[in-house]
Amino acid sequence: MLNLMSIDPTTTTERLGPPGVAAVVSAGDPGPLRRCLEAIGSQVYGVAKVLVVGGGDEIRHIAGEFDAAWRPNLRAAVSSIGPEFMFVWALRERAIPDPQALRVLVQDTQRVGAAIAGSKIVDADRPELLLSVGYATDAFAAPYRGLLPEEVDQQQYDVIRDVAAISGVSVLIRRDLYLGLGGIDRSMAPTSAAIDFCQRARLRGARVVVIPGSVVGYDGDERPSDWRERAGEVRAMIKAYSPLTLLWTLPLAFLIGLVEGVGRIPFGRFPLPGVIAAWLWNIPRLPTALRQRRQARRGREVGDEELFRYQVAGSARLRLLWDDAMLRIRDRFSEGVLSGFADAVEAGQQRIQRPAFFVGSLIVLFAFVATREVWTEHLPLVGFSLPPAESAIDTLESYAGGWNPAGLGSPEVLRPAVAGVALLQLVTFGSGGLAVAIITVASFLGGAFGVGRLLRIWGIRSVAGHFAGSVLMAGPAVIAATSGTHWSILPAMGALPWAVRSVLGSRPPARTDRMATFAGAVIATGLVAVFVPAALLVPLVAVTAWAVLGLGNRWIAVGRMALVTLVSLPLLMPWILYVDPLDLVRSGVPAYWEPAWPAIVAVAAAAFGSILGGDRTIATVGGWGALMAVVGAVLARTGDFGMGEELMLAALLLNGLGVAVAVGAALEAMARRRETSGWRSLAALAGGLGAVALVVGTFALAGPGRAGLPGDTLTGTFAFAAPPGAEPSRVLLFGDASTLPGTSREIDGLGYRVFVPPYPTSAEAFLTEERLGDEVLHSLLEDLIDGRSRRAGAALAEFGIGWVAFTEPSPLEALFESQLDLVTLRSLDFPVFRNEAAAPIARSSDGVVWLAEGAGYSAPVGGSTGDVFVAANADFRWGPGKWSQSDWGNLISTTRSEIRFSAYGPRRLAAFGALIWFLGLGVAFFAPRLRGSRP
Amino acid sequence: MKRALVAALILALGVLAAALPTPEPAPEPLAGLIIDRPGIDSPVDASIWYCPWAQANAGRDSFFGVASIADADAEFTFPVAIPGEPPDEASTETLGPGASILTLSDIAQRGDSPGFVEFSDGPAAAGVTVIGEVLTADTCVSQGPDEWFFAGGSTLSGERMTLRLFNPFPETAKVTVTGFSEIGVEALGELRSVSINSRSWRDIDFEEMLRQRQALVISVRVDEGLVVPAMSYSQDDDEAWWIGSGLSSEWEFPIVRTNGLETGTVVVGNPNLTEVTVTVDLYTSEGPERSAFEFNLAPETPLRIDLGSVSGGAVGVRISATAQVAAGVVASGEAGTAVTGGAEAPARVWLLPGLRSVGLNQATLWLLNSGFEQISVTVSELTGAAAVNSQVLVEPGTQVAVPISEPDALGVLLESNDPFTAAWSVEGPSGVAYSAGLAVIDE
Repeated sequence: MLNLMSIDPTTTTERLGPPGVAAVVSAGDPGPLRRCLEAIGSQVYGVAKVLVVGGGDEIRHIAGEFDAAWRPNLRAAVSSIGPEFMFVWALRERAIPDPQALRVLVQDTQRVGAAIAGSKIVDADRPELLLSVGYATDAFAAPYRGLLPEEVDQQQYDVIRDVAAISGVSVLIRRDLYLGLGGIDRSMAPTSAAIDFCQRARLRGARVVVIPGSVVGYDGDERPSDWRERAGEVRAMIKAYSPLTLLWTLPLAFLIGLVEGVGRIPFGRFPLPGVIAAWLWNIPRLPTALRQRRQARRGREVGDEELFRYQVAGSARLRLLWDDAMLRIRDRFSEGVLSGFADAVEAGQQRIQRPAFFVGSLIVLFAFVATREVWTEHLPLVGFSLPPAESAIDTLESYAGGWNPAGLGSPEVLRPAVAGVALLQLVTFGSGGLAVAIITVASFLGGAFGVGRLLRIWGIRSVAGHFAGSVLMAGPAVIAATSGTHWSILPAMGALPWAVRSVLGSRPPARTDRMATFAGAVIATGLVAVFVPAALLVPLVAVTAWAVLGLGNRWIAVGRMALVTLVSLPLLMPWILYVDPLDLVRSGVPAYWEPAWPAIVAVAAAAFGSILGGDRTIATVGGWGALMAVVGAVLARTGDFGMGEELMLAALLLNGLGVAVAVGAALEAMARRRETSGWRSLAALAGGLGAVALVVGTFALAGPGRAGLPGDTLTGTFAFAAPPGAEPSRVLLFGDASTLPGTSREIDGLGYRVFVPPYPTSAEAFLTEERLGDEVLHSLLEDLIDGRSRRAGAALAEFGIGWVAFTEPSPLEALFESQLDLVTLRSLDFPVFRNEAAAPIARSSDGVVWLAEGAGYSAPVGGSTGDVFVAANADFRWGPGKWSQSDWGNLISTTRSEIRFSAYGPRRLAAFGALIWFLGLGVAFFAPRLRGSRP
Repeated sequence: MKRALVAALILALGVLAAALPTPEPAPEPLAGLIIDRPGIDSPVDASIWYCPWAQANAGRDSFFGVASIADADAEFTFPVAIPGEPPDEASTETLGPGASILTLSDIAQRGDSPGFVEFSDGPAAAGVTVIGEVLTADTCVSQGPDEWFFAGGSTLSGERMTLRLFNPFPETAKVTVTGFSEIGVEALGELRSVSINSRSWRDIDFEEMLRQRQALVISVRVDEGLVVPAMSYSQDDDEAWWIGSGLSSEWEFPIVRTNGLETGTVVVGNPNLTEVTVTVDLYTSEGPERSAFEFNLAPETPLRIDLGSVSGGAVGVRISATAQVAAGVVASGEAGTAVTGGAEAPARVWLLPGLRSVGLNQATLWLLNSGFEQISVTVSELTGAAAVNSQVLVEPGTQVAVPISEPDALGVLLESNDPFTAAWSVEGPSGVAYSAGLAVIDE
């Protein structure tokens, strides 16, 4: 029996059991430390030794005042705790333990035979509020507190329980276990560090309990919402789980993060960067995590199933998201009429006073329903709606000065949308389908809620705003674009209201917030231009239109938007450096949008109704929307003046935003029509009806569930041309331009293009300027039409074309039917001819076929000898080795086993510059938010 | 006021949008482009010649004669009628102008070996001569009609007629074979939609199907795919092969009867549904006998004109008809049997690939000037390396025989300022053969 003394001489000591306890206080902030040390000194169970860890001189000084030893780091602290101590009491500087806290902890820990015991944590200032009574976790090491916000302590949890983890605020740990486990991982945020420590302890067979009789106040908030906590959770999983468990928990954890990232957008939060940051944080720390994993799992006494015992089913984070959603339901019902969504459903007859949340929920539901085929299966492959390439890295290399694989290839720069999708694809573990699904759904949500936020500037309420948002994303403009297979209009449309709102909204007072807003505007404008390049100026046009018609001091917004547009240009590098703007707006089929008459009538009603029936503000907003809508309509019908599809897409963006704004204004005018009377009230009613008609019309988009895109025509269609294990040859596909994937060339008015089966990727959608190989192929086809060839197969094999197909019956088929080396495949639904001549895209002079690998080629196993011919438009950057032009293609004399296209350096630098610029803008945008979310 | 202005502005812009003209619609794909279903035609400077009757076995061999006015490579392909089996291939080259030969047995010796020759440049032509047990020759074909006609041949006792349908293309082809003879339209229902596998051939023997016909006209109509037909007619120990032709209202045959062939017969078939008047002009070295015969030919009826009783030696014939007819020459005698088609029109340039005298086989070039002016023909005997030129005068309305004496000759090129017709014959111990010349069409 030892006679332990408190360090507080005023406290009466009593004779207790023998266990010696050393308190270790982690300190970073000197403010609350003094109060913590005072509370430790007041313990009835005397602490034999107090160590303060971390912090600067001030903390050291404070420690000295309380006769506590100071150590710079935890390792030094632990090494100074001798074997005479049975327990280490780990505390955080904000902990204010009740005088009985340690005594209860020690006694009950010994009584139940636990190795780790945590206290009940309550709010220091309001002790009746519970903060933690131990955690359950989910399989992804995320904590689930199981407490309602502001839940009052009514001793409802006062029972000693085994838990997955306990709060790191106050933990009693057996010293030997503490030393054996190497202490708490200081690189992790507090909660995740506590979970990690408990998991490692449990693997050793240790019991982890919460002892509610030990009460510790906490001077602050204990919410583990920081991205560092998420990073710590990943690290905790890596350290504790078996490889088999990691195999499914890590990918799922990432997916959950993405879902949370999208799902919190309607609540005005953007955790997606935090999700990405959390995973990136782990990459450089992987070696230490693996080292500690070895230590944690060596000598373990139990398996993962012991960890699962104290885990909740599903995802704690998604559960939290759901809880938040439910809380918002409660928040939306004033005066306590309804207490939540479930009550609303049950109550049924009670009046819903603030339906904005329900409309928002409806919009979310609509977004998921309208895009369900995209996220349950994949993007319908048709026209310009094409999937990303399998390798995001290869795509990014192609974008950054590499080889453009469209058609017979070219060194021309790819469109920035390709790089944009590829960047997200990187984040989604290379899954292009997932990246596209995220973009599609997020665009729907972003656009719909973005309009709501935009209209809120002028006091237009959320219901009208959300409905207007649905018209933005599923209105006539989007339907026109997506029915023309232009998937890329969705992300552009989704970003457009945010770009405009960032400039027209009120400027935040804080400089960092202003910078964040500006960065957000640049990112949103950049996104618009990335996905619809000709729409770069659309936000500026929209803001200018507001300046022309709007209210208040608005011309400065035009200057801001112009600056934003200018600053967003680097995001489009290197593409922006090479594009001819005139060519761009003239490219594609002639612009001529023919909206349906009912839609025109509804838009006109909404526009004029809001102008004539709304109050001054609403009328101005409605007029602004109407102006954008008609200017967009005018531009979208300028095909006779040489304008093309690209300009039409930009015009549709402007029109879409205009119609959405007009609809929002009309709905608001209708809602306020009681404030007016006479013909104005009637006008408002007419406008509202027009708006309602447009909103109802959007449901047409939800039916097929393809975000307005036409049905898939390419999936599996050319699978026969790409059998597994065989190197595919190109397909030469003829048909009407509208039935071909991406852009096409023409021969006598008939469209044609080549692609590598099973289908072209988004990187191949836009054929480049005709080069020598394209011209030679065109001449060959002309010769065929002139009946000058009976060996078309051999001639096409030079281009790596192994298949000739038609999207629909054509008289041209007869030419291919009469060739000596093309075989008609009768079993297919459309005309296809198989080339009997071997048609590899890359082959060596000894006849060995080289295998496609990204944008390059590699020798097969066994190698090959001789020069390699690459059937792609000649360019001297193919190598390594001696390059020479062979007819229109490339002949490379190499001894290496791979052939690559050397990137064009300046373009690569420009692309990196764009990426850095994007990251910089992201940091500027998210930094204030990240700071704001820390506990 | 402002509302009214804005509404007016919107309205004006809306009207402008509505008033914007529709862009010119894109022209219909392939509008104005006439894409005929291609036959077996090929361009002059990259011609493909199909030779359905080549054969090489223990008793026979074939040599392919190729001749070209320009330097050209000639690629030979001999499909093997076993699915998946690669074809036999060979190549040769000719100087321009020049000729070359390829002996089939050097490439493949498996009996029947129909094949085709692809030239890298042209004009060029190919022909096949079968030697050994029999002697037969004719030019290959590089273009043909949708419906082929074979006028000539009979199935009397000791005679045999076999139709070969060669499909060199990778698609299965279907043809319908019909025919008429002196007894009327033949019932050949079983030969409707006869399919010929890709890169294969099929022989149809008429000996049993159409017994004891004296004058047969067989037609082959292609229903699907492409087919090159050829006909074989054998009598006694000799055999003749000839390629089919289309219809024409005029036919010229520089050679119908030679010494050693007692019977020389011109067979004219009228496939029309109306009666046709046929006029026959005879040409010998002595001069013409224009309108020597005139016949009215009933619909779907053949006419066999035996020139055995015509005095003199060799005879050439010109046929003119009031409608398009099919025509051919069948000659037989102690020397053997020869059949060939005629020329639809005279031409200024002719290629006669494979025309050569080798061993005991003596070849003769036949020139026919059916016009009324004397013409001068440059005869270039093409060897592998050079051309041996000579000049031949052909009096108006006469037929001239030019023996081929140049031992290295592998073919002949004929040129004149005036149109004429050319053919050749070869006679040897194992038989006799007629071959039509190939007119080089002025581009």
